[in-house]
Amino acid sequence: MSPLTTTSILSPRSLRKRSLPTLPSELILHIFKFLTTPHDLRVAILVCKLWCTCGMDLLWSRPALLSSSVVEQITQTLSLEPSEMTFPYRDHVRRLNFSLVARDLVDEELVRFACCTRLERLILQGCTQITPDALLRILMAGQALVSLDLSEITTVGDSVIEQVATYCTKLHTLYIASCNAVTDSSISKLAQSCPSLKRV
Amino acid sequence: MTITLTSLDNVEFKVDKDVAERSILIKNMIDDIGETDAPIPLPNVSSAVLTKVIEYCEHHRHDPPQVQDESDDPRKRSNDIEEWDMKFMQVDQEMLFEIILAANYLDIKPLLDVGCKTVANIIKGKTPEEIRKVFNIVNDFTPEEEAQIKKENEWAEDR
Repeated sequence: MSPLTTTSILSPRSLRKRSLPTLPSELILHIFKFLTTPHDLRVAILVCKLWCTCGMDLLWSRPALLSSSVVEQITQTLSLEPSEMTFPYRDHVRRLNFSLVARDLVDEELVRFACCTRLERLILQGCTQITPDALLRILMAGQALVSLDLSEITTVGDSVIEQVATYCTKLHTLYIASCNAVTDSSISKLAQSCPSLKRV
Repeated sequence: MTITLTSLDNVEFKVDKDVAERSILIKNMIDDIGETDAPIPLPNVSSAVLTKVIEYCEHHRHDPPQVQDESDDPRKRSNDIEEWDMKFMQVDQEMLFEIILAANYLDIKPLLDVGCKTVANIIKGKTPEEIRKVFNIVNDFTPEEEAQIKKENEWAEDR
């Protein structure tokens, strides 16, 4: 035992004092919900192991993709071998909104998110550089997707929508505004294979 | 009508029914057993904490019931604490956490939120080391673990 721990255990002051770690983890998580910036959350998870476990999902479930450099750093972490990761970050990611980096997003960056198989919402609105090939890679991992926004990606046509129909059977909502190459034939296939579909 | 509450240390508190029913736990209890003169035991709350909680409930006795937060964003604001609540929460750390635990147990959502916001505001803008110091938390990471987690979550540094 390190001297530091010994002192804090023996000190009557710390015995009397009820400090944060004695709150159950659901209350620590509730506190973390009021930390509104990724920065403050990141600081919180570095405090101790308990806080780290509590804050991890909040930090990763919908990472704020504010700039291309954030996307780059996130994909670096996601590309680590699972055995090298401290947490299964891939499994925490449930929402990705690329609209702030839409114009700059390229295929190589997007496909690195194909490991996030629990992804539920994906917004690619205006990501005009993305090709159908890269979309296929993401859609194949999209078995949990409930909402997908492909608006303004003009290369999206019937073949992409048919792939959505094949892989994303839990889909509720699909946005394809300004995807003029999409015809009724692929939409009707989609309607058949996605029983929960509410809105196109 | 008045309700009698008994704290952990056996102190009796007489409070108006509408004040006591700010606690969903107590409200459900009264709904279940009907109106009664028998004291309601609260074995998880000390009299010092219960005094504070009752003070809060009395101040907020006429608040409309909380509307459920419609947005599905898990992140919430913490800069919207009203002035009275802010002053009410100016207590030592031990009391602050006791109030949070009691609000959770008694199911008083607005008080729980105000308590958690207060703690969140203490955390904001500090470094991990400063936070450990304030809350008397031991750093149980090895230097290697800490460096690794720092690196894996580097992206969140970008404000």
